[in-house]
Amino acid sequence: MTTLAEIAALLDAAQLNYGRTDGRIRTGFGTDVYEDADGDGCLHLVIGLQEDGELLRILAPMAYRLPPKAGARRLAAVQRTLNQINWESRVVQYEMDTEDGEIRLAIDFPIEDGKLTELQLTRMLRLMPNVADQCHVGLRLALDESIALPTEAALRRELEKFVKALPEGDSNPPPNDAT
Amino acid sequence: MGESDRTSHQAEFQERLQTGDRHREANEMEHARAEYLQALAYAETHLGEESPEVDRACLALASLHSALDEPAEELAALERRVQIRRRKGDVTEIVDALQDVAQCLSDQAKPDEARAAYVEAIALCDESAEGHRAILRSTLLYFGNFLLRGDLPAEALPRFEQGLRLCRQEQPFPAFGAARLLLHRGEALLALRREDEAVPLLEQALPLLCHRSQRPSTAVGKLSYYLANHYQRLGRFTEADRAYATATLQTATGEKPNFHNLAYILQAWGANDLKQQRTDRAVRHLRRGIKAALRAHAPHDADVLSIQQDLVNLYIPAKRYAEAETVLTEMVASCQHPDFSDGAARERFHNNLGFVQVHLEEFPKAELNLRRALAEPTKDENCFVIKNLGLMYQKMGYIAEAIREYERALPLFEKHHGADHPVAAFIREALAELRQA
Repeated sequence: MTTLAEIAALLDAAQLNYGRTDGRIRTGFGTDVYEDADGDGCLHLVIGLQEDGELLRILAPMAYRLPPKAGARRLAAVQRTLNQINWESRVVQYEMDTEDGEIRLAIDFPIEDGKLTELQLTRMLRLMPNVADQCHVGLRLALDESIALPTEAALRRELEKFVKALPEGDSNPPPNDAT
Repeated sequence: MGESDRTSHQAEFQERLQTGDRHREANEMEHARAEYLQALAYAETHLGEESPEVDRACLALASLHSALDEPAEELAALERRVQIRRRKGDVTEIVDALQDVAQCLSDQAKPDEARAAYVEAIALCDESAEGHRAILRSTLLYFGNFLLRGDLPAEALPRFEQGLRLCRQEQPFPAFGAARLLLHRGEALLALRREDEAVPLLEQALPLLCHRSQRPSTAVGKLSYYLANHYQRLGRFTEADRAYATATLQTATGEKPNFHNLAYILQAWGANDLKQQRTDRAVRHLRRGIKAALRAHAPHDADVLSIQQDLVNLYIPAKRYAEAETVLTEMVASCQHPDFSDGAARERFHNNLGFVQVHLEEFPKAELNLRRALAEPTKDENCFVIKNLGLMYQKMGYIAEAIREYERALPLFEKHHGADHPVAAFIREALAELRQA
């Protein structure tokens, strides 16, 4: 069984700032691209323990919010994008509460009877802002303009179509360099 | 030599090479060199002077020489690989080795020799031979990029076009290779000022190259930045925003972040924010831009000072004088560096600092900085500084001194900036007010 005090000690060892409230640890990381609802470049994280300290849960609550009356088209684009991101992601998952539209990043890590290490914890924590940065533009496009994130395969197909339809260049052919 | 003997020699060679790799990873370069040389000698003796193992040892040595900045040795090792492969006669293998030689020559600032190596590699390939297409396509991409770096976009363009023609013939379609050719064809068109033709190519290539499955790349970041600037010029600020975000991720999160480019991206992103009236966001991007610029340059470098100036230009109209003072104090300190020789900029920084200190009612500091600004004569005879001295005396309640400075400044403004200049109008109003007092 892992305790919050043990996690706090790991964060101290990693020299990370945090606060403790309501049986949870709160921390945050600056981001390059991700912005919260206030437009700040920061991802707020909550670290908690469940199942008698056997499951570690790290959340970025309210990372985004889909307004309840956003419409079916937007909802479909957002859900398709979340599904695509989750398909491409390891460890971090995006979750959406369809009741209130909250979208959060989450990591569930089963500690069971093991011992959580500083490296494991810091890797998980630092992964959250990285993933948030990588996925921000795609998610905002879905949330703001109802455009779903394309798959890599779809992008490849589109590119092939484009290149095959491209007229031959009008520049002079390469000179015969060999001569 | 029997098969079992050969296998055991190969195993021994492999072990020596791996030992070298381990030393290299541990940054024990001389140990690595010794092991690689041992591996090379072993392969020459037991497996043949033209064996694939000698080829591999040469590659390991070339990489080590490159890391140790031993250009002649690096080139010799890479050229030996070409010779080995020439005797074997497999075109794709020769071209692959020639690519490395060309890259090495290019890195060593030997453009004519690099060009000759690329040209030879291309000439060896037969476009109609299916087996040659992939290696020819990549050689054309590298050669095109080499020409672009040499500021020869018109010569680069047909190489990229030939590469794309090959892509159309290949099965399965080489999507990522085609995307790179498309991207750099767009870059060549941009360099040739054919922006309308370039933009659709960048728009098509970038989404695939920026996909999460791909490693971030500074080259991709640079072209995302160009695309973002294009959108910004057209007033398509939301699209510009996305392209700046992509450019930032590609530039900042790769194996070797390019802080010089990142500073430019963040500065332009800040300008895009301002056009959308997103001031706080602009401040954040400019602040991060300054940090990035400081990782690439000294504080007195023009790139650092330019972003700091943008931040000051944002703070002063917003009357955020205390924040402006902090930035300007840093700028003034930077311009004291002996290598900083731009007197007009030094005058402007001191004058701006004096100006914000007048508004913060830090009059002794303000006077000191304004007087320092006056020590740098400018084309407009320091008329802004003299006006600010007037403003300082006015705020201090020294009416006669304020009138004297404003009366000095006004004809200078009229002479250098015209009678309609807003500051000239401001001075006239201030003088009228002061004379009535």
